[in-house]
Amino acid sequence: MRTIKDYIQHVKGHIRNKEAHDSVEKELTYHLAKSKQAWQENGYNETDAEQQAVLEMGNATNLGISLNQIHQPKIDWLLVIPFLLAAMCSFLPLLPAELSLRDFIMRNIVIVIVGIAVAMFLMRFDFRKLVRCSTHMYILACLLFLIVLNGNAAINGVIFFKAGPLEIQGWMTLPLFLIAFAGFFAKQKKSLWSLLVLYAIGVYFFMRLSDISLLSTYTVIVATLFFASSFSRKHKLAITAAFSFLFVAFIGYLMVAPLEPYQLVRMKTIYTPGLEDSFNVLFISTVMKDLTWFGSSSQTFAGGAHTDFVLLTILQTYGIIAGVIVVCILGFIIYRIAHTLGFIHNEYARLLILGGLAFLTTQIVYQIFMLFGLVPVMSMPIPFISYGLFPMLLGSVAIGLTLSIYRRKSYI
Amino acid sequence: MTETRFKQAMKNQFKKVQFTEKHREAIRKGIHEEFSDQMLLSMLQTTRTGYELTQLLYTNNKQTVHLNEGMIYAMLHRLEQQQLVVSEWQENEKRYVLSNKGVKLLTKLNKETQKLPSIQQLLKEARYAND
Repeated sequence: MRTIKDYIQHVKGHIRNKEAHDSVEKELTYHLAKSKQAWQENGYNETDAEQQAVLEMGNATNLGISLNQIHQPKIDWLLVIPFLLAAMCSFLPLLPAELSLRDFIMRNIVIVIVGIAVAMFLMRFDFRKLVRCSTHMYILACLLFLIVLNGNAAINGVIFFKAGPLEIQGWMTLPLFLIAFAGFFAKQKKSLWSLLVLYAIGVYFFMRLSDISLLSTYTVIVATLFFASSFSRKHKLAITAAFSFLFVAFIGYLMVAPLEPYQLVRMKTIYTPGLEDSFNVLFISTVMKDLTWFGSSSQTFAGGAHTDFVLLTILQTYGIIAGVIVVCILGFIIYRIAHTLGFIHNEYARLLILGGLAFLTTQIVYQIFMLFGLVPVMSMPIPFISYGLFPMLLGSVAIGLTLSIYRRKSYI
Repeated sequence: MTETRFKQAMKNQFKKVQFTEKHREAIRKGIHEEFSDQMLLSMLQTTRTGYELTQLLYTNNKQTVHLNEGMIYAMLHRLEQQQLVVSEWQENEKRYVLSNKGVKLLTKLNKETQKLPSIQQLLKEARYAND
């Protein structure tokens, strides 16, 4: 007769998805061990008890076949399709001839392919392996920052490192920080103080980089993870109060601080939308007022038409309907990721999804608010659609991680 | 002798009662109560491992589980995929419990079962019909 090991081996033999084997084996072993123990207590000797326990389990083939059906890897097409559509939308702002952005099209093809490849790789990759390298990810992010801060090139005052075709930029650390902090919060259960210190180090780096949009994205990610983590409500409240106090104190200090007039103006822009860059603001408001349903190609806007103001360009050239469709695609991506969150109960997986969701939502919502003049104009690219590797890659990391978790939802 | 009298009595008693399809279904359900999702769901109102579930089924004298304990895992994993139950690992045990969706489905199923007339009700109807 067969032993427990044989039985489980037989069941596993029918399950094609190798990643599901561990959890099935663990569960069945537990059951059979308990069952064997019960038979032994009933006076069976060890071999007989084991045989009896296996016998009671019934047909291994049947069980294996049904478990195989359940644990087949699944692809969330309702997330993949809008992702591909959004990636295709990144070509829209490059097409109008007035913007003379045709050179970018070839590069954008490469970027889109890289983005899709990253998402597909992450989908196949078992995200559970990431948890072990949370600390490594954090250290790697810090090392990258040291390289970036000693960089040899700069765009718009933001420094980065360039060696031939290789560019290392500050934003590349964001996915690393996301994975690292998700691990810290979910698995390593670090104390509040060490987490604060780890967060503060990141803040310091982003401040040195003087890139406000990255700093706020980073803060949004860590804050979301913190609120979703298993810290007590008391801790969460205390931290929120402390940070609000810090923020108010900082603003208050600026009110009374002896600042140069130009510094004062720059500071005021942080909480007064529209004060900072009157040219941009004026431009946005004129374009927004002159929008038509199906678009017109009259005005050109050189600075950031395909990056920071990509939604505005789409609205202007292709019309309100096209703009609304693009926003709907992005909204559906967010909805779908949030939907996945609804049935994942693994804490680490939840935090990974939430972190990705947080920065996607922030960037999209910020951009829309910016067009309506509700928030200050800031360089905040839209994921997938803005031109560049940064919006594409960050978006595909979030999508890839979500797909990876969705694929494994039956056994995590 | 007694038997024929009993049969006679039953015939008279049930003469005026309509034995509908609904009654038939209720009785069929009562006779072979199969191992259904509903049963498993109702046992998962508190968190349980698969092993505990099989033990519970033995004590409730359900023969389906005998020599077929493995199928409970196939069912549990399927229910989990349908999001009717959620699971959690505690050390080496995987414990299952109803999700919100599962609770809703169970209440719905229970209501449907209650609608089916019981055998007691059938007897009552017979009495009223004769009175």
